[in-house]
Amino acid sequence: MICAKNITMEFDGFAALKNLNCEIPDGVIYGLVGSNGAGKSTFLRLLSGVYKPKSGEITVDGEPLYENPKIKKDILYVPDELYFLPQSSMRVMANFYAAAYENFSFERFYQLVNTFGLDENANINTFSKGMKRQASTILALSAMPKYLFFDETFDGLDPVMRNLVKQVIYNDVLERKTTTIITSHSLRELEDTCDQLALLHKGGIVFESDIQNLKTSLFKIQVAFDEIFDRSRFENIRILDYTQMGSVATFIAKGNREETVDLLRAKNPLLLDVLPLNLEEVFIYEMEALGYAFKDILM
Amino acid sequence: MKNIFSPKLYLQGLRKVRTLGIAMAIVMIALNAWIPLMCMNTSNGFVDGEAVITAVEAGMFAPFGLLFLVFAPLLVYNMFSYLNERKSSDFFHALPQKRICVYISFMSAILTWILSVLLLSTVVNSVLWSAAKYYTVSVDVIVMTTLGFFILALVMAGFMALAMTLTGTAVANCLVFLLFFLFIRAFGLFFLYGLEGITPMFNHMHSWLRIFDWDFFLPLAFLIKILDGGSTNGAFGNVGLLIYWFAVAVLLLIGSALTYCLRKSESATKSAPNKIMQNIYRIGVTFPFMMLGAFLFIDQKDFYWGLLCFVMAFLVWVIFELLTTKKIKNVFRSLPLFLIPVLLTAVYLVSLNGASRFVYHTVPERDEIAGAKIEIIGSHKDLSNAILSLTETTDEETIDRIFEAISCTKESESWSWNEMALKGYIYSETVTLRLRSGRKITYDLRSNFDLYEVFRKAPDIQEQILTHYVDDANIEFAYGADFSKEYGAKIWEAFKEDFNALTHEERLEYFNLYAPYDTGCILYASGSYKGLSFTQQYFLHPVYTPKAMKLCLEYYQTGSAKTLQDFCAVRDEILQYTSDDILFISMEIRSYIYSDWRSYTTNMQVIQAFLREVSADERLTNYSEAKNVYLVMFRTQTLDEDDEKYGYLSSSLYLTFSEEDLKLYEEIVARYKK
Repeated sequence: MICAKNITMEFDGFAALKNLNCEIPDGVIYGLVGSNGAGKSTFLRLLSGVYKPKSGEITVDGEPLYENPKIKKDILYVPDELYFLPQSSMRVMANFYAAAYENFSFERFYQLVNTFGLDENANINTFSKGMKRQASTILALSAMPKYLFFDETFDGLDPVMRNLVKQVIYNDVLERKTTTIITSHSLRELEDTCDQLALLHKGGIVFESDIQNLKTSLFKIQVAFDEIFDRSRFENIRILDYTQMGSVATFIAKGNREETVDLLRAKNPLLLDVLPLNLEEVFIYEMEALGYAFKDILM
Repeated sequence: MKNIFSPKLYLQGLRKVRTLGIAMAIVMIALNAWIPLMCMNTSNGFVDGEAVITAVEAGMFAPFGLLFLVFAPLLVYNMFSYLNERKSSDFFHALPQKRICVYISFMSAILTWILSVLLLSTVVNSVLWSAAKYYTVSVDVIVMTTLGFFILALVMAGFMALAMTLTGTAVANCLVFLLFFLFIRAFGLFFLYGLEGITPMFNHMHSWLRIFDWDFFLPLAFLIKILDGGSTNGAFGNVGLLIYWFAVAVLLLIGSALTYCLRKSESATKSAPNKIMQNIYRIGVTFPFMMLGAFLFIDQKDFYWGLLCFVMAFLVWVIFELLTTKKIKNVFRSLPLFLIPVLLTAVYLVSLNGASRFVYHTVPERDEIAGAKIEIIGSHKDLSNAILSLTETTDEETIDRIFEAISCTKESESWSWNEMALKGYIYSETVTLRLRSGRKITYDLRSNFDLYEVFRKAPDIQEQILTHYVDDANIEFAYGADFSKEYGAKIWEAFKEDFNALTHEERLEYFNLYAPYDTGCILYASGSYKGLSFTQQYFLHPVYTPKAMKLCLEYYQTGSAKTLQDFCAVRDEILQYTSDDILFISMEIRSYIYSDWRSYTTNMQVIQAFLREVSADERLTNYSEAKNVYLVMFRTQTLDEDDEKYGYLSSSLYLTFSEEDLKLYEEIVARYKK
């Protein structure tokens, strides 16, 4: 488990992260969403041991991370801005990774190279942006890490490649219980991929939840009655957002869906519809409940 | 071990800089092969027995200078350039190995390249020199030179590594590298020479400040020696110096390891990790210019150049900030801090003044001085100077005179050069005093008497000189300007016999003759005294060294037999001239022995009378006694028959005149004077 406690990180007086607390269990795909400058990349660099926090501590399985080869050998970070050794090919990079990461597997490397259809002897400088991302992902996966961090990795990948990369990551998570953290500023990007999601805003995690839980615990209800009613009719239901037009009320409810539906049915409505919410809508309402205007965060 | 060195990363490091390493190897090996091959080609025309065997000096390994001045810093830059870019810096800081492990592994790879190229070049160089016919290579020179260059490469690598770990851009890397490389040395030099400038008496020879002198700055001292044409063996022959620079290299490498470990990845692309360091760098590059300006003010009394240096300091301040941060507003923000180097310059001046006062207040008293030695500056020494420079005098009277010179120097401290010249303080010597406490101090002394002669005539030093004056143990070979090798050796044996036959007092008389008159008979000898090479002139004298003198003159007279005929032909021609024939005629007669006897005339009647009466055939004799040898020279300038061309006639000969001949000549001169 990765545990970050009271992490603060500053650059020339600017606080990129402020008292951030986070626990990431093993074997999950953890999504970190936030606007530009929220601190996502900074957080990943801290988790990779690139930065040392100004205050706070990051531990992995109870051991401090920074300058700890025993832990860092199992961590691979794929940044948003990729780096390769000058004039190198994938094979040269693979040799370098093998020198640095003791678990590096050439067998897996060549398998992935074939899967993605890249030439391991070609100069990486000749690759397109998307191909470079693929190369970087291949190298990271071939190091057989326990912890994989992708910083806006799917940008620049076409939909086919994106799915392929996701599939490969899933396989790793399933087979080797790899803990993966993916950052993005697109909720839609993470919706289908992650188990857990956190929203980073102004240097702190403002919202964190299991995605399945998030999706099932919030739902939209449309209900109508033949008599006059108001919100007080639903006082035993936890409502996040309520609108009424005439005899039709539409509200966002939080809680157990079946129980809520049963409660409403008992009131003999003329109309009762339960509508699913997408993740963005869930976030909007959850954030508003917390006092944040979501569009101000992710626009 | 695993935590501080990774063999796999080391191998990756070797690979990372291999392009530069291979290029370095090619250049170094080629240059190191070229020099001996070039010398071998030059010596193809040498003839056995005539060619001198040349000992290969460190300077002949000069291309190694490229290794430490250029390649070593370049290798470091090539290896650690990832520190200048965010994405590469993050990549390497994300590696699982500890930072110290990454640093040591990569630095080891750099040192492997340097050592490999150095050893390979040395082998190539040494093999070729050994095959060169007229060159000898000493194992000592090879070992010390190779070691010296390796240490210097370590030093330069250390400077660059330190600069790169403390900065985050290529420009800042270079500027801070130069700052580290030159600043401390510059500060030391300005202090040293500033102190010598305002304290004429001060000499740093036995002072700890000597480490700041150029001779101790091995990287540049070596190059200066090469350009100067001086011996370069001394640069790497000083074991203590090499140990000092090795210690500097180790400190630099340890320091850069520490700064590498402390470095933040986010320092990439920033000229300095924080504002404080940026200010330090800026002050560091500016301050030497201010020190130079202050130095010019106080040492050279040069106001204009001094002011220019201060202006340059300000420009450097501005340009440094612009180059490193590329923001004009930073320049303005930094201006108040310009006061710091100004204050530091004031501190420099105050400390110089304090040091100067200290020098004068710590001049020893007369009874503290146990011995003294004069320092002979320059590499060309005769035997006397060689002995003088290595021999200390403990003669009390001599030391009294030296102390008198010390007092003269203190007295003249504030005088200008004009004042000193007017008061006769025209003599200056460098003297090292040995105090009864064992401490040594060196002073540059000024006096109105010749301190060099005082030392030369110190009884204990004179004894030393006289003891070794004709010691064959010190002499390698004797020769003369015109003598054959065999005749030179013959004269040398005669000279030794003459000298050894003299009494002690006679030897002193001969030795103390001021500027022994140039009899034209000089014997030279080359040798070495306690490792110090010298060339000695032995002036042959008709009284003190009669046998050697006779041999010398016999040689010249024998050689001039033909000249005797030529002289007679010239004499006969001149006797034919009338005053209408010539434009100019002169005759000069000089005593061969007594330099104060000379006669010169342009009076044609005197000359012709001399030729008729004193130089008649029957009066011309060959050399009989040295005392009566004279050099007679004629010069004439005539017009030819067509009055178009000038003719020149000259002739000279050594003639022997008796006392009667001289009287006759004087009569002739008197006759025509009337």
